[in-house]
Amino acid sequence: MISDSNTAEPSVSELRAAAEGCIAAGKHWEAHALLAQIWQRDPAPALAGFIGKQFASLSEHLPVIKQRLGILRSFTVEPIVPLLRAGAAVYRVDLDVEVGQFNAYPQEVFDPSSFLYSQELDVMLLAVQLSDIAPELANGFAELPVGEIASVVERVAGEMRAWLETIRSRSAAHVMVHNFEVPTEPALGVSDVGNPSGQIAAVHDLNRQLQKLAEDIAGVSVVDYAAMVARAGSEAWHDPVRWNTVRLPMKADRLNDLASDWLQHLMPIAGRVCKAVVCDLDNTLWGGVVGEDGVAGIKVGPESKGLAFRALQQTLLNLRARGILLAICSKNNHEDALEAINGHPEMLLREEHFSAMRINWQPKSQNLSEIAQELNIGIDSLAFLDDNPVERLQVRGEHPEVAVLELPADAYLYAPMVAGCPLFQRLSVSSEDRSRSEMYAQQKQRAVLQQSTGSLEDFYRSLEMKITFGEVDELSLPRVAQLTQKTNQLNMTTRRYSEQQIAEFAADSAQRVYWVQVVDRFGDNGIVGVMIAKEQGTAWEIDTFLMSCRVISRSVETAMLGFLREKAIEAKADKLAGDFLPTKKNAPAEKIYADHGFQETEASEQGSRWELDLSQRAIAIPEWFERVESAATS
Amino acid sequence: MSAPSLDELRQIVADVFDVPVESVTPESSPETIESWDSLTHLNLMLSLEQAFGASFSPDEMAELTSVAKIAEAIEKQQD
Repeated sequence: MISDSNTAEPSVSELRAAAEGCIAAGKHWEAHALLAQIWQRDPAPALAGFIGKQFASLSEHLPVIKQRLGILRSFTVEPIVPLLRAGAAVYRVDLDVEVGQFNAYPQEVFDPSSFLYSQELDVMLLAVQLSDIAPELANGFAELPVGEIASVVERVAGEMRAWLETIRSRSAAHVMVHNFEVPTEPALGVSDVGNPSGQIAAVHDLNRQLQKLAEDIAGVSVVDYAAMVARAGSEAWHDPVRWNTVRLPMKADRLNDLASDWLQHLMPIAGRVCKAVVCDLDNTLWGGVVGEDGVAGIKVGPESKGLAFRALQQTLLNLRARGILLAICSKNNHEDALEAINGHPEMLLREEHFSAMRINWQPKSQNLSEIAQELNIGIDSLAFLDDNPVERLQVRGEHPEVAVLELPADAYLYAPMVAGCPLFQRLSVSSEDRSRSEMYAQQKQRAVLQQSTGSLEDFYRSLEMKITFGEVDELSLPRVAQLTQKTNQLNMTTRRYSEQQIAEFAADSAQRVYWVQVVDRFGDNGIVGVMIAKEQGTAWEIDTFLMSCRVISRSVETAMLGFLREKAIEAKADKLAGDFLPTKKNAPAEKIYADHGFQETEASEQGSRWELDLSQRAIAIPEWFERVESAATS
Repeated sequence: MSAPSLDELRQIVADVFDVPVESVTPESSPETIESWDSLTHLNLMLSLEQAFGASFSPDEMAELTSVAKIAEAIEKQQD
């Protein structure tokens, strides 16, 4: 490990040299870890260029997600772009950014040949200031007659609705929209506070209407610019001289705050998310070592050092409420650890909050593999929290795709670091997300049952499964789109669709989007399968056929194909046809069509094509499913 | 505020304009570095503010048209 001869920690220039050395030597993961370390240490504008450049050469050798972002703006954002790209590089997201003209956002939205539409953008950002979009509500507020305030707010909200609807009609890109900062020196002074005709009320009203727009139009999220300014404090944020000379609203040291906030949205939009956090125990979830200090000696109470660990536990509970699973990986005696978890009066996290545990003396990298397998998620969707840099290094060495958070030495900084990590953000939290941990607990019960039943069919019967099929509608749209974005293993074609795209398919009379829901005696699995079929002459082309791993090996795929065949025959089709496009993760799906009597008609490196003559071969929905009608089935 | 060495300054200039640090000399200016335009000049000023705690008025910024002049201006601020 490189280090300065006088200090324990290497300097940034040493880290730079080490990173360049690793790249030259072809040690891509190590180089990336060094770049991430550099950026965490010193997110400086000058370093952003270096990080961006090195990452560009690494991105051919590492699994990256490419994202194309277009920014519409009314102020200078160019200096923020390199900071944003460096921040994204830390999470292996290759962000391509194009910035529109100054204050030309209405034209760029309405012109069908503008940069917004001439390339396929994944995400757009509308960063506009109140003083540009609605000067009457900003500096002009004092001259605005009271009776006209509401109509000005309506007009501005209406304009923004028109822009977003226009964008939505032409693009499937996700749109991030800045809301508006609340004036800290409002027009009416102290009498503005709580005044329904005041400036503060008007801006709040506009922000509320913007929030409503984000709910009404698919794939829109609000970036809380007002909160960013409030967090820093108006005086720390604003730079009047810079604003007047180069139209940069904020001070130099705030640029990265803005970039960081954008990343909180951009990572979940890109699909770069962690599905589970694996935590060490000693000196991570509590202060001290339970094996040495005893349960009474560990620090997790509401006094001094214990507060730091309690705060981290609270943060982890928040993550759990977003649908992120928690797990433990600790080198301890099982009984000591559980005694502390279940017995210590100040613990916020208890055994039931964790979906998996590995408390043993094995290498942590091995435990992480097992945890990923047990939770049925890819190892690259794990995050790892451990106060011990040696453990972190061991895990990074064996599993470089795991998000290892480089916890600082000060435990008080644990909770803020975890809370601020964009890998834990979600654009929306469904009721399924909120109960994901409970669903996993139910899954464990099913697994136990499987071990105790005789034949496979007996096992299927014992599950008492009820299956419901439906066509996608407003309520099921988010979950259906989410499944196309997240499902990797049981996915024949791995086509990722946004809510907007799914809505378009549903509106097309020649296309069908079906969802499948399964309930069993342990609980409701929710919507677990999606099928998208297109009429092509007398055949039905299966564009998408996927299933959540939650219901793997339960013959749900047979039921799904049986249903699809039913619907195809109803529509007078004579054939079902579909592709299998192999990826690194979907080998489990490879035999599905073959197992149900489809014939392979083509095979190449890209994949294979399968067809089923509907008159020749029947597929029945297995009799151990109870079919429950949905109100939405047509 | 920390007193920057000429080497630190040259590294920042090299990073901001994406040129090899060896090519950056006190005489380097918008005339000798192709990517040094008004927008990247702003990036440079922001980088210097962030790195050295320096602070330049708009008039001063307009005058900082070579590495030598920048070094001098920063040194003045350290006094």
